[in-house]
This record gives sequence, C-alpha cells and structure tokens, in this order.
Amino acid sequence: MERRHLESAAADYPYLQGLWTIPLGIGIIVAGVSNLQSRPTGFGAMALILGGLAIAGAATLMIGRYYRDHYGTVTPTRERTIRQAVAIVAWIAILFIGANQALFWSPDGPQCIYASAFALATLAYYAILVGLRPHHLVIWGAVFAAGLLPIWGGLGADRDPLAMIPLGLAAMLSGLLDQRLLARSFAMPAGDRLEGTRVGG
Amino acid sequence: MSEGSDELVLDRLIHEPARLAILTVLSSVRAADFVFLQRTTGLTQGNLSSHLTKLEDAGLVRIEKSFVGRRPNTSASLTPVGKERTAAHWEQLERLKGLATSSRNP
Repeated sequence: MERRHLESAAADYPYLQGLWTIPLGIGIIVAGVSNLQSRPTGFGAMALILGGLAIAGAATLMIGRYYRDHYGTVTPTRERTIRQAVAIVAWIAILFIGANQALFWSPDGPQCIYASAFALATLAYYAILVGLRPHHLVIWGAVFAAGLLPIWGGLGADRDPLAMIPLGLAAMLSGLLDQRLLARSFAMPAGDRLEGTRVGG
Repeated sequence: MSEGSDELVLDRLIHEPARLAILTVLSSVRAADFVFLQRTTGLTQGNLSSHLTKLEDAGLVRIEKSFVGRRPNTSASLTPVGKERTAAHWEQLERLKGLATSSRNP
C-alpha cells in the first residue's frame, strides 16, 4: 500500500473531477459565440443562450450525481480550501492583468493576448492547487503559444470572442484528461487489494 | 514489541492494512463518505463497516449518519487522537524501513 498514493488520491479528488469542465467549456463557447459581431439575434440568440444553459444545466446535474454515486464525496481540509481560494484569486488576477495588457496592444493586432492570459492563469491555477500534470502543460502551453502567434490579425472585435471557442474546447480536453487521471488513481493494482484481510486482530 | 521511548512500537489496531488505508485516506481530508472510502480502499460494504466500527469504538474516527435528500449518508472523519496515532504509526513504519535499509547497507 502506497501512502503517498492514498493521501494524494484523497486530497486531490475534489480538484481533479474533470467532467465539470464540460458545462464550463460549453459556457465559455456559448459566451464567445454570443459576443461575435455576426452573433445570432432575436430568437436565435435566445435559443443559443437557453439551449446552452439547458445543456450545461443537465450536464451539471448528471455529473454531480455521477461523482456522488461512483466516487463519493469528501470535505477538503482547511489548508486545501485556502489553497483553492488562492488559486482562484491568482487565476482572476493573471487574467485581469493579461486582459489589461491587451489594451496596450493594438485591438487589431495579430496576437490574442486574452487567450495567452487565460492559458497562463489556468496553468497557475493548476500549479497552486494540484501541481501541474503533463497534459496541463501540453494543452495550456499550446494555447499560450497560440495566443502569441501573429495569426489573429484582421479579426477586429471578433478576435477575443472567437478565441473563446478553442479556450472552451481546451478546458474540456484538459478536464477529460484530469478525469482519466482521477479514474487511474482510484484503480488499485491487484497486489494492493485489501479485500480478504481479516477484520480484527 | 515492547514499549519504550526509543523502541519501535507498532499499533496493532492501526497496523491492519485495511484500517491503515482508511485512516491514511481520512488523514488527507476533513471528512469522507462511505462511498469514497469504499472506492479508495476497495473493501466490500460489510468489511468497511466492520473496520469503521472498530476504529470508532477505539476513538480514532467519528462517524456521522445523515440523509442527503432521501438517501442515507455515512461520513467519517479522524478524531484528534486518530490523527495523532495515524501519524505516529507512519513514523514508526518509516523508522522500521530506515533500519531495514541501513542493516542491508552497513
């Protein structure tokens, strides 16, 4: 039995429930699409927003039930709760600074600083909360780099809303890989199985 | 093993692998429910129940039974004594491991 494995599986469990990024990613994508210049209006806009909310809402209920029934629930320690608060503040601060930095760049510039700031903020969040895993570095590193590439020129006011589509997809992909990591951390090698130990003694 | 401040003393109640796993999981969280403990330890419901009862009787864990909606929910947390004894037990195991390693490599 590996002590560190048991401890980290328990301590990291609330923060590696990657399926939550599905409604989050849907929300990010819907927010992006609904801010495009050529966004749907009238009934189309309402359908987009309500449809997105309905899907995200249904997903949230199903995901909550899934984790509760298949993995159970834990109450994190105070230290972890404080660490999560710090991670959230860091995420907001980095995104805010990054978004402000973007104001000093040409709004029609060829980079998308918002996307890079989002990626950096998310990397900081994971680093503070559970430690960076390889897939965090790959996915969010790629998004960070993509934001700095001079490929976003000519999009005007649509630049940041359009960037929210790959951001939402990246969030979902990162979350699905977190979920895979979570599932693996709960899979017990045959040699470590405790079943068959006598009660008592 | 006899008691003594410098001698190794293993806590027989905690040393049982299933109970040590339960206590180790609970040492990393404020509380965990039955489903989570079952999932992390791989024990059957009956076996987990029995181990938790033993630990509760020894004052190492606190069990709270409640309802979440209409579903019964059992939640466990370490008592201060349980936290202390679990940490002490792991320290003893580390000392044993250190002794074993140094005896192999004099």
